Amino acid sequence: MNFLSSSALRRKKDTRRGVKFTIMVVGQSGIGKSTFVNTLLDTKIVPHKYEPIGTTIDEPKIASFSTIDDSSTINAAVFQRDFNPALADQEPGIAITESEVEILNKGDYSRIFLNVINTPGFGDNIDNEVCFEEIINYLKQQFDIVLAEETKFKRNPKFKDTRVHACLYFITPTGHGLRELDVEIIKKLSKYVNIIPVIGRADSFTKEELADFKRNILYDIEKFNVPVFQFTYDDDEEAIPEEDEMSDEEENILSENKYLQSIQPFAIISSEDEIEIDGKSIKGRQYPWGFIDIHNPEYSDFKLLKNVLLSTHLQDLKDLTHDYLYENYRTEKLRAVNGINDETTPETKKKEFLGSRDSYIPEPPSLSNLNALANIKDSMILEEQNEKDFANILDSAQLNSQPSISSFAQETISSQKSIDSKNRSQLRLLSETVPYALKQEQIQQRKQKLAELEAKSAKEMKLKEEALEKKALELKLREQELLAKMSELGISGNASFASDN
Amino acid sequence: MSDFVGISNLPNQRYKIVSKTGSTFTLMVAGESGLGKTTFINTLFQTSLKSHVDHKARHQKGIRSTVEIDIVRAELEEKDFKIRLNIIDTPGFGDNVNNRRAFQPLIDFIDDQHDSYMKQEQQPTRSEIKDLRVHACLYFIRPTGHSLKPLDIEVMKKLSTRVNLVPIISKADTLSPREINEFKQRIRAVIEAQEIKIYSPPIEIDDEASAEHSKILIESIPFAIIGSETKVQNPEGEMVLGREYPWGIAEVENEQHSDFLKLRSLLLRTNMLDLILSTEELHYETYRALKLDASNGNKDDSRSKLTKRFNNNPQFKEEEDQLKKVFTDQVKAEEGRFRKWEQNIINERQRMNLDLESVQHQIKQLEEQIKDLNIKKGYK
Repeated sequence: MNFLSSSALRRKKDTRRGVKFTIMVVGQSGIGKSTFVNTLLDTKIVPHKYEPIGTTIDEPKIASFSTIDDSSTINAAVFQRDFNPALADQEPGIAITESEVEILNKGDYSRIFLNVINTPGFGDNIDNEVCFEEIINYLKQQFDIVLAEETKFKRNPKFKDTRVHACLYFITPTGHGLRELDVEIIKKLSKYVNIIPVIGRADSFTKEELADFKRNILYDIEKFNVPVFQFTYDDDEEAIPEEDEMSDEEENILSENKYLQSIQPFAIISSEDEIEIDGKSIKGRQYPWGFIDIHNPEYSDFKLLKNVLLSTHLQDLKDLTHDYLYENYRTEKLRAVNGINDETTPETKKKEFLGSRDSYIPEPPSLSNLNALANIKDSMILEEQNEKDFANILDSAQLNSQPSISSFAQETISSQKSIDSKNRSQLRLLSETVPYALKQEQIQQRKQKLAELEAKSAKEMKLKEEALEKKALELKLREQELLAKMSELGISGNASFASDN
Repeated sequence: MSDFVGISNLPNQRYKIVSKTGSTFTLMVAGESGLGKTTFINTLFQTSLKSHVDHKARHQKGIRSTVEIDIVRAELEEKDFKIRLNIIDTPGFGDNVNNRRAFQPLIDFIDDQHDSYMKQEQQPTRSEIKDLRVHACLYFIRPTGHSLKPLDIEVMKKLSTRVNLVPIISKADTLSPREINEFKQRIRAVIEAQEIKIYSPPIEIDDEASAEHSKILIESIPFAIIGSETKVQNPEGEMVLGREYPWGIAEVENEQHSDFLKLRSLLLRTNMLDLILSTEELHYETYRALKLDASNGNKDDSRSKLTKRFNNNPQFKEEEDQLKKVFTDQVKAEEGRFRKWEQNIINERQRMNLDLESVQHQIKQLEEQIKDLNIKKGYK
């Protein structure tokens, strides 16, 4: 139970400083992602796909984007204020945007710095493969940035953790179950982020239909092994009587989690419009047949989800991201990088070499690579060449940039400063090479020794040379003396000729 | 006794024949799954023609990744008039990660029906022609409130040249009247800008009432509909088809709530004949003309058809593109590798040159020293 109290302490500390929290919303367009975010925060921070002309809103920062077709003028990253029907057939690609907002809780003056990642364009394309890659790359990059920061010698005190703590996946309200698209994306993303599935536009279901739909989704989640965020509760733990420390609050948490787990996936109805009823303005949707109050727990889990995200499970989500998801990623990454240097059999080494070509430092081309490409079976030769190749890599790295360790670190820092938008991939590359730092150091030392030796020998040589020159001078002086003597004797001509050699 | 011979009775005779033989009507429903296609069909004919897909069955074969064509045949009778209904459903459409080849089965199916009808027509005995030509295709649009998606546009374009296309906004009970209005306007704008030919009922000039009706129908395209198979009690105490929400009852046949009545009128009450005739006269004729033209121009019909199929099938095209991409990528990678290699060699050469220069420089210096020495020597 110490864990809980320590986390409570942390929470207290965090309350004073303010908590940084990042959520991502993913889902097909038109199922209310933007509306949900805007309703959640009670401010319009994410623009809709089409905004009526005249509305002013700060456009969120675009973290990255990719298009299907380079020539396409339509792009999910570009917000279309006015709707252009002539271009509607072009695929928008996908963009990832970040918007930051600060929430001040009036009750205990706690602050939350919320970063909302939106993914406009997801599911809008005919082929949605590109969306997967883009989102996964984004999530990986955030991990890589942290990894790079951790491995640095001198850490940046103002470092901003941009890891995504929770991802709300909006399930399209089909009434059937999960679709191929849903299953695939959740499976892929769950390695990097906690996924909370939610049903968007829950107002398209009657009570029975919603219950059916939820059951189908849960059944699918189980059948297809879709890893989603679990609200943990343990039936056995409660049964221990001598655990007096189990306070009411903790018991509450357990039963609350049990309840939340039973209610998953959250069915959400959201609305930015406020409608006046009985003198009070309530957020809701007005239909000819009735009015929906989005805070009504009878049919909308909006309030519940808001509570889960912004208070009760905020720390859980953060902890899980750091202790589990990031840790796994880190282990995998470092192991993959170290795997290259391991002493393994030539066969596995070759496989690794072929497999991980993309993931390690940009290598200079050499004959051995070509051989590997051509799958030449003589692996012994290959190995030898590989080793040479590795030496080449380091050598050429030396030649090109002379990266001594300090400059290496400096490079990281400087790139850290300019990561804002574009240099992320570069940084990713760097972070991959950071684990090489130690290896690099060794080689560096060896090189320095060599250089010293060289300098020493050069000095010696110089000394010898000087000595020789001195001798030569003496010899010449003697020669001159001899010449002078000879000239006295009268046979000067011959001697001067001989002294030239 | 009789002022007329009886020629004017011909329409009545015709009526008898028609009502005896009945008629055939084929309806296709297309659109992403979960948009209420099955429910709509059952609502339209007020019987459960189609059963809903058993959700549990999915787990046996894994998640479906292909589009299937599902035909339901039924015979309906109303006031002694029989109609043979064929309902064509397309389960699995738009469910996948990559939907680039999702619409090919639909197009192929429509073309195949035209083709088989044409072949049967050319047979010497053709008393029993099986006719599955699609008279109307309902395309279900997801109520996003934004506009049409690229996939929608692509499919509607392809369908509109082959069949009477009727766009429908399904599950319209998730959009408020204002949102529906905006959504409809955007869709209409896209349809116009993208030159998608949707079916519009003909306006007869001499019949004012029906012209007015047609106008109303045209104005409310795309139809926003609600489907329901269950009857519920509305606030007035009547039992109506509708959906019972905690916040109220959305009635299917209420003009304020949905365009269902208009759509039914278009499909069955007023324009069914027009749909059948225009399929016969317009879509079948264009297909036939194209086909005959092609086979006249090219004797080797079957082969050209095959190659045409190959050329038109996006699956092959996609594979081809992929192969091409892989190839160019590899070539690029190799080129890059060579370039780097070259660069390295150049760098090496430069370094060597520098070394050489410095060595030469040293030699020069030494030579100069020797010269100096020599001079000194000479001087002394």
